[in-house]
Amino acid sequence: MPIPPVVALEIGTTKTIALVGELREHESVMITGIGKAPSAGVRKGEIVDLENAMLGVRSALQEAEERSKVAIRRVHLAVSGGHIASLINRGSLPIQGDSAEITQDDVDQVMEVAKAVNLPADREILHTICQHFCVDEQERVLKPLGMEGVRLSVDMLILHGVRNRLRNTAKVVRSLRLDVHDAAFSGLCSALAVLTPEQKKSGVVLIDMGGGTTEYVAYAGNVLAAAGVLGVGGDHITNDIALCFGVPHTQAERLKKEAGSAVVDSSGATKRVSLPPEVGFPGRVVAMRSLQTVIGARTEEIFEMVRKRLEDDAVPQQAAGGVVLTGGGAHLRGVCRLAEKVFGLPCAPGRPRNVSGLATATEGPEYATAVGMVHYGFRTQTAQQQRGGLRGVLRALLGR
Amino acid sequence: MTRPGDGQRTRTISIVGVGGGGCKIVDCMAGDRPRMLATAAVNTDEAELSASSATTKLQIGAAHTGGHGTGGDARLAARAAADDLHMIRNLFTGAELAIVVAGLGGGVGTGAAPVILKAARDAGAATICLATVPFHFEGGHRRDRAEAAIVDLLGATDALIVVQNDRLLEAVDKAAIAEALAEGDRVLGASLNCLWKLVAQPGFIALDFADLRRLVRGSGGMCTMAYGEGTGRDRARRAVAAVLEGPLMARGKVVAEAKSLLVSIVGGADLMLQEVGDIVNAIKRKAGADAEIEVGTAMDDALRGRVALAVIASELRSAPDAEAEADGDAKPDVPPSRKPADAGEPRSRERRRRGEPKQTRLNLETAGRGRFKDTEPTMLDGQDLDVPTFVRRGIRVER
Repeated sequence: MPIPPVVALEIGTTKTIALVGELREHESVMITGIGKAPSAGVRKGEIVDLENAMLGVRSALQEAEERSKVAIRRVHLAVSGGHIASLINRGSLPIQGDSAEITQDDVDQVMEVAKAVNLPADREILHTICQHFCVDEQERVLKPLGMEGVRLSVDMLILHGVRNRLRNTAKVVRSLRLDVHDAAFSGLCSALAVLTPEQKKSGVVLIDMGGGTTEYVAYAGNVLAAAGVLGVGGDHITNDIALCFGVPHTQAERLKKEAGSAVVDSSGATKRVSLPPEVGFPGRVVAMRSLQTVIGARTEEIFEMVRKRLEDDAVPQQAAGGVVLTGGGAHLRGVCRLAEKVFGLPCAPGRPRNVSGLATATEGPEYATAVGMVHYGFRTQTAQQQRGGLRGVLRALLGR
Repeated sequence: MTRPGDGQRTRTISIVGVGGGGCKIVDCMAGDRPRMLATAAVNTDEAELSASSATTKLQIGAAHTGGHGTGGDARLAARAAADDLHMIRNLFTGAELAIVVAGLGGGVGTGAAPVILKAARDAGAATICLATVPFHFEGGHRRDRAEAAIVDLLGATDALIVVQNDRLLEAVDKAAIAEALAEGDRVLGASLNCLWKLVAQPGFIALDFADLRRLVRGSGGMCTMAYGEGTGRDRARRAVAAVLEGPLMARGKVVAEAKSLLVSIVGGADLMLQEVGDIVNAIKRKAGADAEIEVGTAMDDALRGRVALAVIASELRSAPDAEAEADGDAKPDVPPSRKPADAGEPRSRERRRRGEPKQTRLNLETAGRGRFKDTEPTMLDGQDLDVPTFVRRGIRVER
């Protein structure tokens, strides 16, 4: 049975991206269609205007349809927003039977126990990801099957968000008479797209700096150690510039993209940047150092907040894989140097891997989430074919 | 080693030496009367710390360095400072002005100084950093490190005074290296002492603390400092000549190009108005016509028969200081000389300044969030993250 193509949709704060991907050998995907439209009605990763958000989604999907020659009927949706948070829940189970040997039933059962977590009524589980097992007093057991013990526990990382906000994102798609086939946290998607198995093993922090939100995902010893979202992103940098120099947002955005840098360098000591006058804008000259200071302060704060979150979650400090940056923010000049300074780890922009096809989609760090969503789509589809589907959570989420 | 109680004391000015070089200069600042002046020494190296005569000694990063130096590893030093940040913060409790002294190019001075300055700024203090740049002969990598550190410091401090060791030693007339280095430290210590006395023991021309703060915050970054002393009958002329013709001001070139100048004159009870006038006039003649010159004098009876002069020249002309105007601190029409040195004044000022951030935040509640003004605020630890970071952190930006 041929695997149908996956349509990944990311409704970002700045732009909406739709990708059509086909599965190739060795877990590689080929992007056959891409659609891109500026987003409206999205703030900090959340829908604030259904109708306008829908227009962006419609034109992105139309473009992707035309280029890939695929009729899109259902999509895989990447979701984000500052309301998404994670917690670690430990589930425990006494081992039954005479032999005290752990069976597959025990493993399945303890996983179910760990997944059953009490969240506030307005929240919904988005992902449950198994971290490691614990047999009696022995921590960090990877495969407990066949081991002997009297008690089996498992740590489960649970990503959850506010149900109605997640539903609103899905609602945009469904108002276009399309199906949401699956949804996933966009930070996880980015990790799926850019991180290598070696990086996950040796420990790595991925930071996806988008327009309205910054997602972070940390791996340690091949295990997802922490994940979360900050409702702060590139829009805030632009807003800071606009407020500091009293220029319109379009001009602030230009300053950020064309002259901005996250680190104050010595070249900026005396240099000035001029914005030429336009209709309704008299023109403006700003000091390079001021621009760099404003951008640097905000970017540094974002990294510091991520670092603090990771420290609070007691993520192991050794991350030999370093820091990987994705999202539009990875294009900011000097951002890697700043991240190296804040985290004390090597830092590099992340590029989608195991992907071929349209060059624009396979190269830029801002496509990491959408490409990762395509990977995620194929991964869950294959898993479903094998196990007959287990998507009760998603059904509840989408209200079907 | 550490005496935590010391940090709790309320001081208006915190003087902190960072690393081996910085601590030595701070020691010299206290001179032969170390108990007169509350100073703090911050270092990773236990041995160097115990040699310091500072009143508070703070060892940082013991977990990382085991009480030794950092071996020139600035990153390690930064981590050491970050580890013990809560103790560093204590150094600045209630401080209005923080003077941080560091020798760049090595480990602790280069790496820890930016962290310490940030802590001072977070505590609400105006910050001045004095940094020395290594000698030419010390090699490229040390100078590269110092160069990188200057960029970091510029972002972390209100005013950065950079002193080139090469120029400093040119000014010192000593052949033996140990003597020359000690003399260099003494010169820097004495210049800082002038600055400190200006605030702590004002004389008949009191430089208003608000003026100093405005000058410091408005200097837009890098400053150059020079020091001169004179004894005898034409001591004033000698002191000013040492500054204007010395290598630290590039034989007066820096003064001529400076946008603003801070002149601090310290003398004994025998200091005459005439002498102050001579000094200021000599500097005015050299300086550009539009340069802003602020003068302050201080009394120190230990200097009877001598005149000490420190001049700080700032590279950029200060922009009109909206902040100072807003809180009504600026009193342009009242000459500073008429103002009595009121001991209670700094305290009331301190209160007002502590109130400032709150007021700014209130004003910004509607205007400061820009395009996010209609959205649900992103709150974290009681801060509205939609308000620009530079506003919340009180970072001065030339607009």
